[in-house]
Amino acid sequence: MRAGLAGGLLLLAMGPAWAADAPDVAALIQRLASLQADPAQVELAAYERLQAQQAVAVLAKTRGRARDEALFLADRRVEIAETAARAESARREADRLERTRSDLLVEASRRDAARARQEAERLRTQAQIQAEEAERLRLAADAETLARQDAENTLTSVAGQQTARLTAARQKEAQLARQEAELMSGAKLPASKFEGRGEVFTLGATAFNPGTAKLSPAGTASVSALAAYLQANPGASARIEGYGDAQTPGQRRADAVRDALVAAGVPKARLQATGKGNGTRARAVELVVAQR
Amino acid sequence: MLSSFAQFRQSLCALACAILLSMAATSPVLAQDAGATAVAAAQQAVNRADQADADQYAPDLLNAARSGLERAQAAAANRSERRQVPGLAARAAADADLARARSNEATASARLQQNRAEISELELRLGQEPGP
Repeated sequence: MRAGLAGGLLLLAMGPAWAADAPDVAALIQRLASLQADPAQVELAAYERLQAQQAVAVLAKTRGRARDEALFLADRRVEIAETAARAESARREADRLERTRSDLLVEASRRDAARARQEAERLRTQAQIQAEEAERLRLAADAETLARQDAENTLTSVAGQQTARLTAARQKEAQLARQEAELMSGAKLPASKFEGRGEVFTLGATAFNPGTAKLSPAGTASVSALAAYLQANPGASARIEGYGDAQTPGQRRADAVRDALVAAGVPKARLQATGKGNGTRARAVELVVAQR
Repeated sequence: MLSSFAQFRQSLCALACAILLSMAATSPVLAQDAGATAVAAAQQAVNRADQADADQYAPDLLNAARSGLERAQAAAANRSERRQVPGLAARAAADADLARARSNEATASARLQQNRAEISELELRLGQEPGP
């Protein structure tokens, strides 16, 4: 009885032992164990692993001709379990990466949006700068126009002052020449006025004998004073304009005055005599003195 | 009368025994059931492999599974080969399951590669650009 029990125990202990002794079975068990040893894969392909374990168990119990078939099936089932575990692992990794990829895509689109905002802001700033620059240029142009007008006004007024000064100087000069002429000739110069065409001396009708072109004594005195004036003014030329009446043409009176001036020593080239229309009592001859 | 009845009971017993014997003799029927189950399981395995695109990723294995299934079906139809049916069907199912597993692995690996490539491209893009 005891011996029988011991024999049974021995058989029980021998069961796994002979299975482990068959090298192919041991190799398959080892492969399955390494599948389970990996903590990352321990819960993967559990059904396939179970099938493989069953096939290996069948192989361990099978003897004889059927053993080759059982070995093939067990080997195949273990391979299936390994492959399924790898596939499952790859699928999980792919899922994980898919989430990473989504996060990155979100980040990328966020950056794209930020970049677009930046670009829009940059363009807006640029447009603003351009508008400000245009405004600045416009103001500068306005200021320049004003400045030019100011300058022109200043120049004009300067020129006006110069002209006035020049005119004053000429009149002063004429005044001096007049005094000199009156001293030299001992006669008084006729009254004169400055006009655009020059200094104008006017001889009245009393300068001529009535009804003729012959100079009266008063006229002769005036003409000698004018001759002295012209000689004191060597740069000046004179135009003699004669005004006539019913008996006497203006040209003859002008000629008479010119001849008297030439006789007094004024070069003929500086003199020009012309006849005009009818004169009055106050105006028989006008002598216009202009600086050449 | 009674004895004749007893004789009838005896023949009844013999009939029952004969029926029992004949039922015992029809153990191939049970074997046939087991074979049919194995063939159906193999058929399912082949179908699942088919759905997993094993035609594309493990065509040899799937073809082997299909021909193994056909051999199992042919054996099931033949009385003398009926005993081989479970083995043939189990082999075909194993081939089909491996084909399906390989196809799944190839699909998942392709997806994994694609995701890795896209991620490294995205990381390159994001890494090269200065952050906002």
